[in-house]
Amino acid sequence: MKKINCLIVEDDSAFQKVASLMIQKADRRLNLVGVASTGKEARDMFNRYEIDIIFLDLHMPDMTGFELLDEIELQEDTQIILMTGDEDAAIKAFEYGITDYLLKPFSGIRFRKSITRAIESIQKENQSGSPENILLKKTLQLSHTRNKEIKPISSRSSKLGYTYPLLSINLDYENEHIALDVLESAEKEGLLTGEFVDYIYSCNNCYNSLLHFRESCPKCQSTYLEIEELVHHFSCAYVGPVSDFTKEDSNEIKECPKCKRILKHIGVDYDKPSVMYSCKKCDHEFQDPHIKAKCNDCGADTRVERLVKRQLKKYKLTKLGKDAAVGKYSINLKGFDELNDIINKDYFLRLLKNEIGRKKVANFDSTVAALQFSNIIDLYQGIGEEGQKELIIELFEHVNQELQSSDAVIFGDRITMLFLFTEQQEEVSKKMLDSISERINELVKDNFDSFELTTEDALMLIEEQKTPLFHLKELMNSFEQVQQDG
Amino acid sequence: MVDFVTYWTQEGFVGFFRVFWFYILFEFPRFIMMDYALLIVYWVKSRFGEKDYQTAREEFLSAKPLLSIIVPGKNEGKNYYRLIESLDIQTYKNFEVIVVDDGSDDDSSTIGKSLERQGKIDLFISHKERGGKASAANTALRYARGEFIIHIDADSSLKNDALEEVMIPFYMDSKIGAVGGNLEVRNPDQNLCTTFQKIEYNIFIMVGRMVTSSLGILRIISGAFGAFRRDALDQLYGWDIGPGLDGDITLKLRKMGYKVQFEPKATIYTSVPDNFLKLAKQRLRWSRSLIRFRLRKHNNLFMPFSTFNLGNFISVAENILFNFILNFFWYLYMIDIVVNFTQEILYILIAGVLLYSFSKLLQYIVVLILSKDWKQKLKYIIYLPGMVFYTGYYIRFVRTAAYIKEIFFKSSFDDDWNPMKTSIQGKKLEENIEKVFNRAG
Repeated sequence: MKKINCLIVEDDSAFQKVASLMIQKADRRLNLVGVASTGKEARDMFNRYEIDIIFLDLHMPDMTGFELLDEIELQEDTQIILMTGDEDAAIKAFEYGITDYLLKPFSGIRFRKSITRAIESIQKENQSGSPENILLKKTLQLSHTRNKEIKPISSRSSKLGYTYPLLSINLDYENEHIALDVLESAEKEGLLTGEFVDYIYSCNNCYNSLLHFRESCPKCQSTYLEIEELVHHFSCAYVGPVSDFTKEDSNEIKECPKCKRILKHIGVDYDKPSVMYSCKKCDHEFQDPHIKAKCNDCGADTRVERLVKRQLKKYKLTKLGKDAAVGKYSINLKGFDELNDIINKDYFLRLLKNEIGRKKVANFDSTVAALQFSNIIDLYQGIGEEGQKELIIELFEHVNQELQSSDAVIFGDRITMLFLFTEQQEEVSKKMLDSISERINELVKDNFDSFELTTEDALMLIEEQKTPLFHLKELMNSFEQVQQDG
Repeated sequence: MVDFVTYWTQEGFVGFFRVFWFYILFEFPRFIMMDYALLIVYWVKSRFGEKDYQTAREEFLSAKPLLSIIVPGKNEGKNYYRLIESLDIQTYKNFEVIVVDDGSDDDSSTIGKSLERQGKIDLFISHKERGGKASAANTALRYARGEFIIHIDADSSLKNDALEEVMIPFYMDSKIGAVGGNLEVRNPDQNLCTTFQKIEYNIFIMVGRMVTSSLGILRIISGAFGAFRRDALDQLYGWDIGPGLDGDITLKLRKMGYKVQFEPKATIYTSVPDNFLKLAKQRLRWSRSLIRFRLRKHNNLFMPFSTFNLGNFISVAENILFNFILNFFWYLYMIDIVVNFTQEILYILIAGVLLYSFSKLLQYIVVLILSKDWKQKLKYIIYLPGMVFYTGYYIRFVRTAAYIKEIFFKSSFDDDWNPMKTSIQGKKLEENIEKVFNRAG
């Protein structure tokens, strides 16, 4: 039974004793390795021992708890339980990824709850129970025991056109492309080394690789085209399609319509400088057709330049991969956390960049907005990690349904929602924001014992001269101002 | 100075005539007299022909025919934007733009395709193999949908009413098959070379062609800016290999019975060579075409066949006489002067410069009278004495060199203005034709 090492960082000696007692009583697995009164002591201890949980007070003689967190190298699964009397610190605390937050004074029951949560977190990391991790582990095991490379096999029934043994069959057709993500992620983690096999192009709507490629008319998009080579007759400078030069039945003998001479040798009497397409639907004549790919599954007809291009690789296990296969190393793939898609500041910045680009070539208003839920931390404390995740996902989905398809919403962090309202005037956007805010309030009230959510909002027009980051900062700054005032 | 005056007062009119007979017999009538005759004709026409012009204009604007603007060229990509911009501001809007890139090896293809995507060019055709100006023009003709074809050089830009003005003559006389526009130099103030060319264009192209056009003996619709009836071009199956393909097709149209007209109101701006070496090469190429087409290919114009036509005969004969024959004759004249007047050569030189400068001034006055922008053209008068040497010596020498090279060495076929593959075939074709006619005749 593996011990869970704990560290108390607290300058009040009385409180130190209380905390130590509580840790000892809470769970036998917990092992208190030390008590630090200053940040420096805490740092030294953290470097000396492998710490799993830190009980951190914010206010210490030589530095704040945050400064300490900046200085020490936190492991991904180190749990931090913040203890402080300072409520406003909570908002900042989430930026550091703390596990829990205890507001002094707190009860023994509350303390035990937080410890339980912290232990659960640790265990979960160890178990690495997400489906992608399990799937990968099985694939690694297969490769290790059979001593075979993980190779893609050409398969007509597979969505990508290729299938990876074990990995692909365990994914349903919809999600077969995730196999590539899993393997790519595993390579990044150092479990595999990849060697290039091929590139594949997939439909950018549904990732299907079975596509029908054909040329289309740039004007009317029809694929009903005819192509003809042009012939240039040197001696008389006549240029026309091959059909100008051939007689009714045969297309071999070429007689020049202008000077009536027979064309004998290409390169000597004549050559073919280019081709010409003609669209049978709209009569348009052109040289460069658009090449389009029609998806066999979803019917989307996209230009080939926009298809999704992915690298197909074959993989070998690394030493670490072999260790993972036999269970010595626990797999924990990054990037498959569900919340990663929902709490994603970068995504917002990317969207904003695109919108600014769009705005430069057109004339319309677009706004960005933010809703900050200033007291939601209290709620999070009550419902725990899982509950928090569920609430965030639910809020996200709910708001998404309210929005128009061209608008977007994403969480900037656990307490702030960011919005993009395209092609809307400021007043309209404000109204939408208000109604969304109201709905969220109702939702929370209904589901969480009439919890009254306090919300701050900020809204601004997109300025095409400014960067996306500027907009984000402006929005976030307006919240801080309100706090200062209040 | 005194000696100079004394000498000439001694010589009197007879002496003057003896020295400057070349000018008095040939140059004065051809240039000064004809130009002033034209002025009178023009004045008469403008007083009484205004009604016709307005009627034709209305007819044209209500018919609103589709014009196909064709722009063949190689490595002209950098000029596309300027040309397209000048087309955007045209007073007449019903046209399509077809640009042909004849085997460019720069980024002309990229520029053209981008403009096509933006809708600024209606059809951009790119040949990966160079075929020559004629084949490029014929490619555009093959895919043109307009009733009239306007052939423009890529490095030109049109004045905003150029399309309208070049089209009106077609509606004044249905027998007109082609209309040539006026060329103005875009960069006249760049250096001495370009300034001389500007004056030259004004005197010889603008006024010169107005003269020949009103006499019915216009011999060239410039490739830089020419409008043609589409059905006329179709009958000819387009252009034949150049250089000089614009003069060649003009002649063919005349042989078919069409009239060709010069319209000075339709203006296009073109860049000219900016140093004397480049200029010489350009003129060598122009002059060679006289030999090739007028003397060889179209020499049936001189024979009393049933196809004989006085107007055609005179237009070519005039060209041959004044440009070719007189060019060589001038050397004889020079020998005459140098041999017989060795002592007084200085006086003759000075008098010559004065005489020719005055002559040029008379010519330039015609230009000023006939130009709307005469105020801007006024300042170039100071260059006229320099023009004497420019046309009198420099251009003359260049022409002579060109004629000699072409007559004896058929060098136009070796010129890389056309790709070798077409030149070889062209040469073969002409040799075959000669053989056939020799056998028959």
